[in-house]
Amino acid sequence: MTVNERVEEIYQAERDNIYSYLLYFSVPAGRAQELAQDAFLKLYLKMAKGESVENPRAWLYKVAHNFALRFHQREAVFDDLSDDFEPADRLADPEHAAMEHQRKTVLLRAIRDLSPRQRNCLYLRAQGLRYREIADVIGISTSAATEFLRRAALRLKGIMDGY
Amino acid sequence: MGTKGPTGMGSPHLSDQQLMQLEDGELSEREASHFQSCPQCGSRLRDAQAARAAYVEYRDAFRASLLAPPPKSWRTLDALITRHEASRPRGLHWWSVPSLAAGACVMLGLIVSALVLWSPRQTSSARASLLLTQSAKRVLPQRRFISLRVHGRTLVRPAVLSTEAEAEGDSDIARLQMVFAAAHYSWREPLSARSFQAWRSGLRDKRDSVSIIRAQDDESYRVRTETDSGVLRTASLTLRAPDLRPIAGAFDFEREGIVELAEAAASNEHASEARAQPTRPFTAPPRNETPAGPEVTLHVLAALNQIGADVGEPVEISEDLRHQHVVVHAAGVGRERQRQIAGVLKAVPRVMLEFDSGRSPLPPAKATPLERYSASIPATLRQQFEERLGGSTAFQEAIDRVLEASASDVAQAHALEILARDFGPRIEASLMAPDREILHKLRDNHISELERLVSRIREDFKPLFPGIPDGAIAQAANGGATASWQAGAASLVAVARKTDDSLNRLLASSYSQSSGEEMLRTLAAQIEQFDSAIRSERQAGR
Repeated sequence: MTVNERVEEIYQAERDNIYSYLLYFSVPAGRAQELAQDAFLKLYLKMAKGESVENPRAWLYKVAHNFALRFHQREAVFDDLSDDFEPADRLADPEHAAMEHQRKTVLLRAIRDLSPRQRNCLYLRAQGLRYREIADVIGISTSAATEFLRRAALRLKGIMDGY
Repeated sequence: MGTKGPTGMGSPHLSDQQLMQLEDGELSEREASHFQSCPQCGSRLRDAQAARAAYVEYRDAFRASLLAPPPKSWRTLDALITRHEASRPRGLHWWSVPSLAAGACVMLGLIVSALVLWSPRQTSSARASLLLTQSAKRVLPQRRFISLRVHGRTLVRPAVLSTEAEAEGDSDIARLQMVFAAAHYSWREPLSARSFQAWRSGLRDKRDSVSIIRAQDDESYRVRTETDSGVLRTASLTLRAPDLRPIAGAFDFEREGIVELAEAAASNEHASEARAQPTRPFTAPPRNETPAGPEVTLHVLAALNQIGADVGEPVEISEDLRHQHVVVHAAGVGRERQRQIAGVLKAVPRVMLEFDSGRSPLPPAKATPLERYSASIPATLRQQFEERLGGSTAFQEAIDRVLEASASDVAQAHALEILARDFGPRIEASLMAPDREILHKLRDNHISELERLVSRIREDFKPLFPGIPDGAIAQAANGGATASWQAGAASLVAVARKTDDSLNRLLASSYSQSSGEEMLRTLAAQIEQFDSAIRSERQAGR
């Protein structure tokens, strides 16, 4: 497989994910798409030079993360969700819908109450990144990444228990 | 077995890091064997997995619906690579030797052109029709602007007017509208293949020609039609080669002379106002003017600084491809802010304003709940903090102010770094005295703001640092004056970030009482170091 074919394959599979990651940092859609494309171009140029990229996915998230920071010219806040957002109900059964709504509201509140770093770590973990990769993407130590994840799990457990 | 337990006290259980390693398949068999027989570690792993599952539900069921889809279709990887190759500065590789590269590009272009256009069986008329038909199928962006050059004036208007009547308001424009109408050529959308084709197909007699135009790396096709009937004697439309988008046109009217049209970027006067006032004249410089110098960027920064838009806002400043304009691109800013930005930049010549019309994908940021920060501080330390700062409410308020000031500090330091990067000593020396004064004023504004913010942090947290004499560390750290203020700006950013990290660690991470005290000492030292770095920066600028 040539470098071009390999990157093309990754591009097809991951571009929406990298784009979404940038949106989570409040980068406007048009710019996020440009930056996502730039990230893949960077990957291609790196690999075309013969440099090895052990895990291209994690590498792309790292590039996207740095793009987001540079875009905001400061520390960007991950997933700064408004308090106004309410989960939508799609269930016909009113009783079930009420319970489900309550559960979703609690979940939403629980996620909102996590710190931006905790949400960021959890997001990347949910994207399938290893904890070492998460630390590398965000630019923190592995122990800090572990700690953010542990605290996020603890907090979610405390709030979600019973729902 | 794990050498360090979950509490870091030598517990027999797997540490959190080991649990992660277990999930990631990185744990040795011996260490992993504990997990098989330990319900406690099993429960902790399930908690981690449940948290992830909850997050996935949040992501997919709630959050996904708030994310904007990509506004454009994705470019192919090949297109990205081609664009990159075309835009990068040429080096000494064989493939970038101009004659060879140009030869390769021309050959490729010629092959395509020859196949489509220059087949011996194609007449000029058929080639013109083919190009215009293909171009007319293109969907053009809604917010396009065109410039019209007539009688030595340059006017800018939207590429498509919503009604013919919108063209009134300027005598030149009103006259042009009448001339276009007399020629049966669409005034509403003059720079369009559809309009050109409609005019052309209504002519009783016509002579077409098609030519390829190459300028630097750009290639385009020009369709030219001459006629002896009507008031419009000759018209040409230039189509960009890769996508056949109309980019320029020339219309030679009987007794009126030539009217030139060209696609224009949204100008500083028009980006936000063009729809309401589509025919206001805009005096854009001609295309072959000298490059915009650094002083234009400086004036832009100074103008933005007046309204605080040069720090911490999604405003990017760059040059256009021809280096004739400074492009100010603001993404995701509200309408009112757009008006303010357009207002302060109105007086700056050679500026193009681009407002990303895409709404920010998320609702506006709200203040972070305070409790989030201090909840993780060890109880004893927290109590000490609260006592020293005058109670829990005062403590929370101090945290809020300090974190806000620290984030602003990072942004200010970064803005200073950009100023130092764009106006290095050589460029600074080349500026005229009044511009140099503007540069120094901008620099001093950033430094003053940094001083104010650091002073606020120090004041707010002073009661937490009782053992550290005022300014003692600053004096120790002082003396490292830099060669120039530009050289010192980068280290200032580093210190700002370090201080911000320390503050966040102290206020948001979990740690033991003793580590907390150590972190506090480090933070105190960093604040003094930061203060010292700011003073050095001010000295270097004198």
